[in-house]
Amino acid sequence: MKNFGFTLSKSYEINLDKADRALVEKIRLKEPTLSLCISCGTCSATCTANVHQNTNLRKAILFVNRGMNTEAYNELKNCQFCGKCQLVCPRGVNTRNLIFNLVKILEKEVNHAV
Amino acid sequence: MRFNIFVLPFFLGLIFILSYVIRKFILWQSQLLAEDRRKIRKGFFSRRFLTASKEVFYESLLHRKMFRINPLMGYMHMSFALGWLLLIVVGNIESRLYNVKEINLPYYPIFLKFFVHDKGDIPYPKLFGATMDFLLLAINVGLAIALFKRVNSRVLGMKRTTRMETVDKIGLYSLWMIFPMRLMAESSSSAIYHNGGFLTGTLGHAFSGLASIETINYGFWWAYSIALGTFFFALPFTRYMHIPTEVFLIYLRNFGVSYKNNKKVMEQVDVHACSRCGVCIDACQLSHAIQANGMLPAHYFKAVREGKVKDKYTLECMMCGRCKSICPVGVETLEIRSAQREKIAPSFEKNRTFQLPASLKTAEVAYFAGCMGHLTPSVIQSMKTVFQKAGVSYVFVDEDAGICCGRPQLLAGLNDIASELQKQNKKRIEETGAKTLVTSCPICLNVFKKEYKLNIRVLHHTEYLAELTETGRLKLKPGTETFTYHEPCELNRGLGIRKEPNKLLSSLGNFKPLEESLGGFCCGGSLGGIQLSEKERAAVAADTAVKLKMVNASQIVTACPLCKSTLKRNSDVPVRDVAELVAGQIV
Repeated sequence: MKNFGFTLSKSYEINLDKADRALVEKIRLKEPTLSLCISCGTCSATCTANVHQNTNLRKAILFVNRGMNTEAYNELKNCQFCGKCQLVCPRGVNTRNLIFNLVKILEKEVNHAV
Repeated sequence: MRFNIFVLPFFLGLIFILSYVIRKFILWQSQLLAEDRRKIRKGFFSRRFLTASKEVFYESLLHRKMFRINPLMGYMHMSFALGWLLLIVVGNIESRLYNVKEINLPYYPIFLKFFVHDKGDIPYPKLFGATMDFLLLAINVGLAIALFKRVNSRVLGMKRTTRMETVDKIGLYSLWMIFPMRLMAESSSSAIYHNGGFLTGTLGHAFSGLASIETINYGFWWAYSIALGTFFFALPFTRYMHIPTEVFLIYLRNFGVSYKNNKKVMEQVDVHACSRCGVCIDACQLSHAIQANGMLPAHYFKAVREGKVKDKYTLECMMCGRCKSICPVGVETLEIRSAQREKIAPSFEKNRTFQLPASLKTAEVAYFAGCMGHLTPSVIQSMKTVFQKAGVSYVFVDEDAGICCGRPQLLAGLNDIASELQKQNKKRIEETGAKTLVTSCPICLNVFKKEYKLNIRVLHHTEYLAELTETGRLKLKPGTETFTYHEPCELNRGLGIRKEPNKLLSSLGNFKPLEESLGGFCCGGSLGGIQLSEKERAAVAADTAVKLKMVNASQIVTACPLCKSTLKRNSDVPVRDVAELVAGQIV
């Protein structure tokens, strides 16, 4: 198959009724601008860390909203915290504080589960 | 030995405070590293002891820095510190001259006028009387200023001042009572015995008609002693603990005790040395731009001292360093904040792999734009033009797949990632074999200079451009535009780089500098601020933009890509980087 630089995602089911959204609400209290995100992906496009390792704030926000906490953590654990995403965000999401608190809350959860 | 029961509150208080302070000092110094303890022992017998003592005299007694901030505040602090000390010293001399043979307990000179009425035996009685009265008057004038400051702090140049809790109030009110009570006690004594100097004597004369003067007199002596005792007992639990701690801190600093290696104990010394004078409050832009409260240094250090730190306050600060520039005590405000951040920081992945492009070519100069630099491509473009026109061989270290310098992580207390990133970048920079590293970003520059330990020259692009024009490698035509300069905090306050940018700017056109204010304002974009919303950041940026606009220049020039990005959103005056100006004026 021709390589277009992207692949199809495997199909998976997200059941929002069953998803554990307790963590995302905890994070939202710490950084309310989480709600402003429109998943435009500007943050991921400019990301310094994403060039080296898989780091994607857009995905992390989507995952954490769906209660997929381990996946969200994996998207952010390689973040370099440089702050570029904050400057380019068209919605004014306070990304650094969001990442700070997301990783802080998620690391407990993820490491606890392991 | 003379004694009266009323001296007890003072005497017990004195014993308490001395033992408390000495215990605390011994405890603190025992927590220092062995090497630093040795420095203290050596320091006492070296010239450093003299320099430290000089500093104690200037700062803890004269309050020179306070005078510079505001003369009235300076006088207020000086009258209490120096005035009180002189009162004790002169009182001691006086009592010792009089009472050579007997044991002279500490309360004796303090309450001398209660015990000794006929001062004929003391040499120079008039001189002593007048000196003591003068000192007492000077302190009471200082006290009047202090009272006035509580009512109207604006007159003393302070828009906002510190808050107090019960124990602080006890400390404050007892301190306020001490000197008026002494004045009343001495005056009423002189009313009975017809002695006293120009102040106590005159006041005593007014009292002399009263029938129950003896009871009143005894009451005042009790009140004076109680005020002193209360103050001493309250001192360790109030901000007045700064009085002994500041002196201790000055000696430690002069003996060369390292702050970095003793962070934990030095933080304690620093927060105890903070007098909560509150000059940092007005210096902090967050104080008036967003009405911040708990994060303000004076309040925050109190919380650190009491172990009641709130995460929000730890993360709000922008780490611009204006508070450190103005602090008369020299508290390491930024160090304290980042140490607290370290405590609450999350842990990211430590073992990272980096997808770096093929190794870099060797060149004369290594250029590092930084993450923020990449957000202002015009600056990078200008630097490329400059390198080309000046005929400099350069290599662009972070053109593709750059790695963050490590400074934003340090500011956030994420020291682990910082050192990991530094290691990678250092390898990359050394690979180029360049003799000079030039960066456009003062944030990167700070960490390159302070943490990387590179064996090559590390320059900010303003320094480098100044050098190129001076050596004639770059010829510029004079400009006609009027502009002002926004000083990046990391460049000026962080690294003290001022001369080169100023010189360069003067050669570029009609340069109208901003009025000096602690080395410039914060653009609001600072990576130090973590829990600050965009709105709050914009408020700080607008505050700075207004100040810059008042210079009435047609352009604002800065030397930091982050300052440029943030300011241009909040200023109707165009914002440009020095490099852009230079590139546009090359002959």
